[in-house]
Amino acid sequence: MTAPDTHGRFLALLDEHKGIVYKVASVYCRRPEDRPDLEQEILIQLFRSFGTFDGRSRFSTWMYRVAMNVAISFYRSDRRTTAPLVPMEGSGIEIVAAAEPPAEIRQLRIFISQLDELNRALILLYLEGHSQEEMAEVTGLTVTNVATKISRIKDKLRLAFAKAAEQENDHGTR
Amino acid sequence: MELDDLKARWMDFDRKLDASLRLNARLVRESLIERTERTLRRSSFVVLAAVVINVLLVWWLGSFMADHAGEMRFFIPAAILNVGAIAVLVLGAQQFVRMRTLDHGRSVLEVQREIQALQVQQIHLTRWIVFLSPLIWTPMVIVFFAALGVDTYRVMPAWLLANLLFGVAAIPVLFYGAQALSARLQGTSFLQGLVRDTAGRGLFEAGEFMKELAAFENENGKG
Repeated sequence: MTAPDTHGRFLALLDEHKGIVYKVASVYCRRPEDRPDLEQEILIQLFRSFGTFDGRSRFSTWMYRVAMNVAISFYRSDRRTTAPLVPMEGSGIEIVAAAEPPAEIRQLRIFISQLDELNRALILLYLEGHSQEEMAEVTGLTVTNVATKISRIKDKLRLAFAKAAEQENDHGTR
Repeated sequence: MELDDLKARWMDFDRKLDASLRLNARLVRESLIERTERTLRRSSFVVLAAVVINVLLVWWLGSFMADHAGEMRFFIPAAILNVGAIAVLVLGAQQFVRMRTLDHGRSVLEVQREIQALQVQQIHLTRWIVFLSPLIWTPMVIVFFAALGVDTYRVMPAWLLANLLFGVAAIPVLFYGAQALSARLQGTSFLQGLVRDTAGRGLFEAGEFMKELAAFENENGKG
């Protein structure tokens, strides 16, 4: 396949699954203004790794793996203060009509940001509606382990929501 | 609030978000693809140039050693430099190839483990280079002048001895200096990274993350 063909195929698949880049970057950025940098890092790695995609797994699964691996490394090295590899005006993923998430989703995002980088990957896949088998395929865990961890995260979130509601009630009655 | 209830709302919001996202294909094609390819070509050229220089250095040191096989006072410093140059060449090339061929499309656990292993290897290499650099100076001077026909053992023996002693004394100073500095430096610049790695903080952090990965993989582990 020639380079323009590869580029065209890459862009078409990227267009179909651009939401993955956006969502992974949103979940792993400490500050919202760092999101375009992380998106750019993910896009560069996706493009560089595209040649290794052999079609054995779904493109979206492969894309989640690449995006999460880049995001975890980005999050850990906290590279936001260094210059990006290819300085450019934007990542190429744009929001045309920004929608404000409902309050409980905003609250959920706050709780997710308190999880470690590995559990964040799991909870994002869970919320995106992936099966436990797919989550295991992306993370490298066993299916049983995925189930155990999701159940623990659920417990943690239930407690966190209960605590937040309690604090809100206390605040309201005062 | 149950996570399963939130999941439905999350997916509902997701659909709205997906509908509002646009991919600027022109920007991605022109900036990302073309500039990434150009940057990669440039970085490959830089690495190739470094390898060529190092190979030439190893070749030159090898022929110097052959010419001075009977003169141990010149042969040994050249052999020390050559071993160092070969080690840097082999380990550096190995690191570069492993990093460039790292398949980010494998599972998160596999890739993160490999990245950590590479980081640990890189930090060890950096520490060896930093700690041994004050000692390399003396054999470099001996070999360089010997190649010009000057016997530094005879011309400036006191200077050589002073440099050797200074090199030995500099190692603990570098070590403790890096320890003291790394506690104060929190940034991400090259110098700050170098100080952190020299002090061993990078190794500690990589080790901690390796433990986290192992605990995450373990079904009974926390999380």
